[in-house]
Amino acid sequence: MNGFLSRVLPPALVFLAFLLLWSGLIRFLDIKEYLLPSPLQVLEAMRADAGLLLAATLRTMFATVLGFLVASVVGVLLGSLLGVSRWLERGLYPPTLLLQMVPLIAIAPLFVVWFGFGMRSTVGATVVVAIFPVIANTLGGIRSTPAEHRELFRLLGAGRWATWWKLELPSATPAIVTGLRVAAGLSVIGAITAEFVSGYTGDQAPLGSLIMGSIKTFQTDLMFAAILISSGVGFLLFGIVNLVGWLLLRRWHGSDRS
Amino acid sequence: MTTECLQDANPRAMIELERVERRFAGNVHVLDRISLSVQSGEFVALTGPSGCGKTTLLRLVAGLDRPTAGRIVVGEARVAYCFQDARLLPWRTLQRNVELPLELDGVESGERASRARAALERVGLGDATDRLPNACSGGMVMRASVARALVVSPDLLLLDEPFGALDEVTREELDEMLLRLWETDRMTVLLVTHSIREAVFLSQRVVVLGGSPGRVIEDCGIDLRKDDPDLRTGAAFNEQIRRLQLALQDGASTSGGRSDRS
Repeated sequence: MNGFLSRVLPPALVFLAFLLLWSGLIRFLDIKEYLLPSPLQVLEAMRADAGLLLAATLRTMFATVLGFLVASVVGVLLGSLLGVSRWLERGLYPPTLLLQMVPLIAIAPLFVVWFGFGMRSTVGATVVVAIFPVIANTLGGIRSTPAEHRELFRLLGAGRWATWWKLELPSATPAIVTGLRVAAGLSVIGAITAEFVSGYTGDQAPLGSLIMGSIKTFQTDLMFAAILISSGVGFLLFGIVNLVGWLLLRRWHGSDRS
Repeated sequence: MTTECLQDANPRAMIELERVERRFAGNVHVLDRISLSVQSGEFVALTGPSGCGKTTLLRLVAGLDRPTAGRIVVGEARVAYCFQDARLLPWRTLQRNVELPLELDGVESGERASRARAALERVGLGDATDRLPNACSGGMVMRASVARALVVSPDLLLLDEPFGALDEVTREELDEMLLRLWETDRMTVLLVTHSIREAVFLSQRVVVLGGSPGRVIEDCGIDLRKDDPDLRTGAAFNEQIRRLQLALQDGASTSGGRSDRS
C-alpha cells in the first residue's frame, strides 16, 4: 500500500499543481476564454458536449487501434521478410525508410483521394505513420538472434519456418515490444493528424475533426477538451501495449525481476 | 610401450576419419592429417592443450564444419551434440527446452512431454521441469543441456567440454552422472575435454591431440574398473594420468620440428 502511494502521489501532486498554476495564470493575467479556457471551463465543455465527444472519441479510438494492429502485424511480417536475407534487406529497406521520411500531413490528402473521407483514410494514414518502428525493430531483433542459437537450430535440422517461429521471433520479442511502444504513440498522432484532413465534420466528427472545427467557431474550450481526450487515448493505448509487453517479456527475466 | 595402442580399422566403426585436414582463412592450419576410428558403443575422450583443434575436430564430425581435405564417415546414427555453453532458449522452461529437438522432428505433443520429462528425470531435474533457465544454477543448466541431447535417444553423443565452466564438485558430480548414463545406454560418445583427469575417469580410450597444426600424438585404451567408488583416488588412475601428461609434454616439444614439413 505504501509502495502504491509513493508511486501515485508524486504524479498526482504535480498534476494538481499544474491545474492550480493554470487557473491562477488565467485569473491574475486576465486571459480571455477564447485564448485559454480554465480547467473548469474545459470540464464544463466536456459535460455540455459529452455526446459529441464520446462519439468522436470512440471513432478516433477505433481508427487508432485498428491502424496500430494493422501496423503491428504487417510490420512484424515485413521486418521478418527483410530479415530473411541481406539482399531483401538492401532492396526493401530504402522504400521502407521512405515511409518514415514522408510527412504524414503531406500524404493524408492523398489517402482521401484514394479512399475518400472517413475511417478508411484515417486508418491507412495511421498505418503508414506507425509501421516503420515495428519493421525496424523486428529486423534488428531478428538480426541480433545469437549465432549460437542459430547453430543449435541448424544442428537440430530446423527448417526456415521453424527457425523463424521458434527462434527468431521469440528472440526478437524484446525489440518488437519496444517498436510497438513507439508505434502506439505514433498511432494516436497519426490518427488525429489524418483526421484533420480526412475526418467528417458535424455529428460524424472524430476528435481530429473536432479540434479543427472548433478553430472556426472559437470554441477553445471544446478544442481543449478534445486535445485532453486525445492524450488520454494515447495514454490508454500505450498502457495496454506496456502491459502486454510486460506479460510477454516476464519470461526473459526470470532472475533479475525487481 | 606400456599403454595399449589401437591402430587397426574396425568393421563396426561409428566414426571414420581419414587424413582429415582443416585450414581456416589466412592459411591457419588447425588439423593435420588426422586419421581416427571410433567403434560403435565406445566412449572416447579427445584431449589436448587449448588451440590443438579438439573442438574443430568435433564440429567436423557433427557436420557443423567441413574438412579442407580428407574423408569423414559417420555411420547411420541419431547424433546429439552438447555445446560448451548450454544454449538453452531463455524464454522456454527446462521442459520445453528439452522438448525442442522432438518438436522440430514433428513428434506429437503428448509423447514429447513424457519423453522430455523422462530425460529430465534421468539427469536429476525431475522437480525443476517448469523452471526457466535464468532461475537455474550453472550445473542445472548443463544437466538440462544433456537432457536435451538424451531426449532423442542418440546413437552418437558428441560432447564439447560440456562441464568445463563448472566448479570442481559440480563437475565431478556431472561426470559421474554421464558415466552412469553411458553404462545404461551404451551409445557411442566422443568427448572433448582439456582435463586429462576427466578423460581418464570417463572414457575407455583417450586420444591426445597436440602440436600446431594438431595431430594425434597418443591414442590409448584406459583399462580401469569404472564401478570402483574410489576410482579417482586409486594408484592405477593416477598412473594413467601421469602417463598421458608425459605424452602430452613429448608431443608439445616435438611438434615444432614436425609441423615444418606441412
